[in-house]
Amino acid sequence: MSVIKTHQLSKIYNGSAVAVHALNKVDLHIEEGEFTAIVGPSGSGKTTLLNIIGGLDNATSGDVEVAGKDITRMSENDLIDFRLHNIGFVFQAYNLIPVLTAQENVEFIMLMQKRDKKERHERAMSLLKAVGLESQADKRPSQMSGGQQQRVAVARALASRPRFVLADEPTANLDSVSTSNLLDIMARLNQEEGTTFVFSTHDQRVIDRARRVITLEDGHIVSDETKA
Amino acid sequence: MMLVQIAWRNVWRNRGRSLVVMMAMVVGISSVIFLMAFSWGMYDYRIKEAIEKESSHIQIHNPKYKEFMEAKFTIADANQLDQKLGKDSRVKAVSNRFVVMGMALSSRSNVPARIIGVDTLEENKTTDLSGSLTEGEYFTGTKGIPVLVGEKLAKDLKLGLKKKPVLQFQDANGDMTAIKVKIVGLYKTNNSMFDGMNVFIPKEALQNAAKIKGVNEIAILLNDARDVDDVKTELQSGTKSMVETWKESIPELAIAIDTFDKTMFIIVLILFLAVAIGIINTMLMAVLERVREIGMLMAVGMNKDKVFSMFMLETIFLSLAGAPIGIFLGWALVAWGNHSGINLSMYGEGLSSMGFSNMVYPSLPVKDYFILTGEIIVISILAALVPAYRSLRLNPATAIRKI
Repeated sequence: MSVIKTHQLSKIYNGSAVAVHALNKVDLHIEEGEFTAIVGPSGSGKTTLLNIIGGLDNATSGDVEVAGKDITRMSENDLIDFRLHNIGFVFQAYNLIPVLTAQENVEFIMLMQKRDKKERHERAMSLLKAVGLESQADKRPSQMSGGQQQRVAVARALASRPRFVLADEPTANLDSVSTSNLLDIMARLNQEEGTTFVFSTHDQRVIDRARRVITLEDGHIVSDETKA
Repeated sequence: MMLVQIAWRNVWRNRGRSLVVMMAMVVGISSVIFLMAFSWGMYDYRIKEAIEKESSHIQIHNPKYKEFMEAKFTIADANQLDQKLGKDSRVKAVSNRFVVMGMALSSRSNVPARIIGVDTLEENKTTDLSGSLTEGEYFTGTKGIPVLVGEKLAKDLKLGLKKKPVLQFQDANGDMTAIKVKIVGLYKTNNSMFDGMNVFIPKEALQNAAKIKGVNEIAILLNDARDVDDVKTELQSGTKSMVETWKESIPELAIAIDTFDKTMFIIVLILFLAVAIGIINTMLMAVLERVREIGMLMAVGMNKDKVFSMFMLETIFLSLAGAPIGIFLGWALVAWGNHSGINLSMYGEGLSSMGFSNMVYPSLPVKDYFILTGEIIVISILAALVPAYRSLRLNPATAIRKI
């Protein structure tokens, strides 16, 4: 079953002088449980595609159906609510809330979903355990390494039990050991819990681990390979 | 609850900057409190003095006396009013006066004078005139007509105790008349203008010289100043004479207080405005510094109401963190000033000419502390609106990528 579908998706940025086609009639289906990397050179449209399917940006034309709903026709408030319950985000710069501990950062999403305290606490601790940071639960982001922060970000992305996780260059700021650890964790969550992951990346190590690799160039999909 | 927690912790993210804002709040609020208390203390004393020594709470005159200032316009129903006031438990004391405008003459100087004929016992209960004496005695042990004059008037006349100036004024027929009197006492209030023109004399002596019976001024001192308006209304409803409260009989003081209130309002407004601008500036910087974080919060599903609330809370916390300390410091300064007094004798002459005391005892009614607290809360909320609104205008997709 497709969790993400785009049809003739285009995005044009109207600059001061020239209009830039960031995405040009992109048709894409991503099935539940996939571990997919979207790759391509800078300016190829990777982040734009992720932003649009994540409901953070609007398409110029075309349709985007996420978890069976056409998100291009949603109001801003509905879209925020939709993101909260359906999409997990992992950002390149981790973007944790600096004044909260690791556990509080993970609980934060569930708090907005109005989950009860016991459930929040148990799930946060179980996710931190899954990413190997159970012992760091009381630490704030500034007390953790980049790799640890990104693992907390993954735990936070999964806390809301999203339909899929969008990760924008998640390893860009990590060393090789941290990258390897993070990929192991995400792959395990994908295989054991069936979580769908979609990455945008330049990182060959991520590309090597992905089961499907979609290549974008100048806003077009130029290849779409699924590994055996 | 976590929103409150985040907002509170965010206040302390940049400890130095928050402390500077708090310091500004502390200095601003404590200054406002002390300034208000200092001025209130000054005016409160002036009002108290004006009531107790000069005008009393209420005065009654013949309307024509107020218009022409001629002694012949006496109060027709003075006896009835006196009886009525004698039965009123709210009235502490009443002085029936006969007042003429004239000149005080000595061999070396002439000074305009307001000559006040009083019942010596009644007057003392109303204005505690004997308490203001610095030399001599209160209308006792003398031959001839005794008078009490202000130190300033005596100085202007170049006369002292036991000297005999002449008081000159118009009688009932409009003819000039004069009486020789003897200074038996010198008084001093904190109002040098009052001391420079008022001469107190036994009423009968003045009435006989002026050939006028009756009184043209009734001064009423109440037990409780809050009854002024009620007593005035009741008196006015039963007489054709003119009944005035102290605010009406000393309009210059009422105007001065009104002007002072307006000036204070402007000063307080400017101080609060400066503090509010400081808060807005700090919080706008906080919003600009945290664009990526705000973008992330919106991206992961924090709705705009919550983002707005978070910045509102943060600004209010920042504002209110310093407020209790500022209020306490202000209260402590007022308490210290009230206990030891602030000596302004270096400006004594200028203050005295306006009726103010050289010693100021700052004081502020408790209700003013509550009003001030309310104002601080309102200003904090208003100051919070600008940065909170600014945070809402961010687009999550672009905000996340902001370096």
